[in-house]
Amino acid sequence: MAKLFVFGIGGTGARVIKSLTMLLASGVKSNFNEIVPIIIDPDRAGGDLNRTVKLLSDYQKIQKELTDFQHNHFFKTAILTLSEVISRKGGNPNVIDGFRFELDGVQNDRFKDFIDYENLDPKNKWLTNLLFSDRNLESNLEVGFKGNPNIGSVVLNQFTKSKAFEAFASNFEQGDRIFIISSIFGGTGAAGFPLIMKNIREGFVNGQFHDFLKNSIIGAITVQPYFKVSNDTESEIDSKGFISKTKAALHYYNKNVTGNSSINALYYIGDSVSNEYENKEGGVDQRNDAHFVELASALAIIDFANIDNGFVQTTNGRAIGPVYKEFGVTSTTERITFKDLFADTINLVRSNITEYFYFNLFLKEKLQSELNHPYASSYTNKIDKNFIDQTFYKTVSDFNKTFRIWLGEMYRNKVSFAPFNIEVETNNNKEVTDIKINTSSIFSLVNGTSEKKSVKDYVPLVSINNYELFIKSLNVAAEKVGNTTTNKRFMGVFSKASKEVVNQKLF
Amino acid sequence: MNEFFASIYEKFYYSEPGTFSDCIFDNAIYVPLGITAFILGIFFGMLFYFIINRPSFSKWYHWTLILLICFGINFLIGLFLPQTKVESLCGHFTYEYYMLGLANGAVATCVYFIFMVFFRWFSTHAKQTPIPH
Repeated sequence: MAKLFVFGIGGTGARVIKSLTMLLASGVKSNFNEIVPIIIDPDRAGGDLNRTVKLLSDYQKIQKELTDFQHNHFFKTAILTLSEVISRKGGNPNVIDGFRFELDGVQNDRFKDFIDYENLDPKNKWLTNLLFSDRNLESNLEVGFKGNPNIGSVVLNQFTKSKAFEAFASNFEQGDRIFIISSIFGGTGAAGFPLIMKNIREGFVNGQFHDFLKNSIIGAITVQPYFKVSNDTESEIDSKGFISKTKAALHYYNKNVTGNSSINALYYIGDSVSNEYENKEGGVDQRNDAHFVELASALAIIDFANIDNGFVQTTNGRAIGPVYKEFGVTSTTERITFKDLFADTINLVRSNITEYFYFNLFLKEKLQSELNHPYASSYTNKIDKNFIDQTFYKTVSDFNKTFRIWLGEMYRNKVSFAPFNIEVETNNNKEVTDIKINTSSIFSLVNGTSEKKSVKDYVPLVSINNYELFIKSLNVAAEKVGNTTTNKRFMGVFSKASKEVVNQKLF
Repeated sequence: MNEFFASIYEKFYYSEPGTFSDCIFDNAIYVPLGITAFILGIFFGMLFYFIINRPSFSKWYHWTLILLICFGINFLIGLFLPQTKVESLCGHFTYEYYMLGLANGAVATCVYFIFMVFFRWFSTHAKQTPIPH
């Protein structure tokens, strides 16, 4: 089975992978049934990174319960760790732990220690002083490269020489594809993308040649500035430099990425920089709100995965007829709804995200009080209080809460992605903790879309609306799903019912 | 058929020999009563499990409401339907009509109950009513 390896480099990489995970959970499909995310970020305590890793891990736990279950369309695509891919072929899975590649020698290390500056001979010291400022040399690597690609390009070389990269190369098979996510205006992504590209196209990893790797189909998204950070003289990150860094990097890509046909499909995205995040160099505090640009970037991965083999080919390490794409919306607006997306994007995400939203809504608002209906209690494997106390449900519940927070963060961000009429709940630190909705008319929650009504809906005692319609669909879905394990039945019933209510009342 | 229905009705109510119940039997009044109770018992069962059949009307008290309506209608049928014929053929009764009405309601209730066991399996929204599986 062909796999799509997705390299997420830096904080933006992790955040785009988070959006991709949400899309896959909602049932957005691609031509790949297996996706292998590999996150490369030296900032091991990074808030965004750790949120993504937890999310991926929850996704896996849920998805593994649903393998080959035809009645469910949520969590359809398998997400694997590189270790799992290696294990399947009998290799040593210990070369990478989970979804994140750990860089050695960056914990509590300054950059000058990493390159062993003190032991360099005088000529190399002079060269180093030419390339790196004193601040660069004193920079603590534990929280990332803080917008310095010149540091990133040195440190990240470690990845391409690592056992993990070697294992990736050995397990890369014909038909597999690679996608690289990076931001162009920071440190880690800007440095990592061309470096990984170059090493893949060479085909040599630690002295071994990998033909499939050299001639692989590679896609990438290079995320241009879409946020700025507050001014902080203490911080090494200054968003005033984002544009000049972008220009410099684009100039470099023009020669070394697109100019030499290294890449088969390159996606560009960015936004007018109207939102400002708190200036955090890294660590647990670097938890930026989810942004529509990240969702659109995740859509680029799906788009790439769906490109027919006939349109993307590689010969002798060079892409034949590479494609370059940009993402756009139909109108310039501060609040994007489904109506502002182009038809292809609407077809890809609107129903899926809406179905998952309603699934989420029912679980949050109603499930516990509506367990006495046939969908829950008329079958051998019951959806009852006991099921709700078990790990599987708790994992789904955690995942769903993250989904709601993700929607809430995109809703309040600039540009706002507001497909649903929601209110955002926050804590004392102004972090989104959940969303609130008006439950009196749940099918009027999709912005820009009216609830579909038939004559029956206007007849008192005959009309079935709101959550009752959902329960009706759950009961009908339960009959179609029949008896199977509780976990499968739960997801199958909710997946079918969510699809049914969305089809009937909205799209 | 008269004997069949009589055997059921008279389990619920049988007056002194040679009086009300024998009049009902001798004039085959149990047959229309029984058939009506049977049909109405099934009808109300179908009404609850297949026609209304909706999540918000599937609690035990909704089921009981339909049962009481079924009982009430059959009580009224048992109370009034035989009166003209019985008065003209067997004389005047009062209390006995009420007892026949109650018996008729009880018969329809039994039919509603018996068919509940079958109907509920095929209902989408009231499988659990009135007793969860």
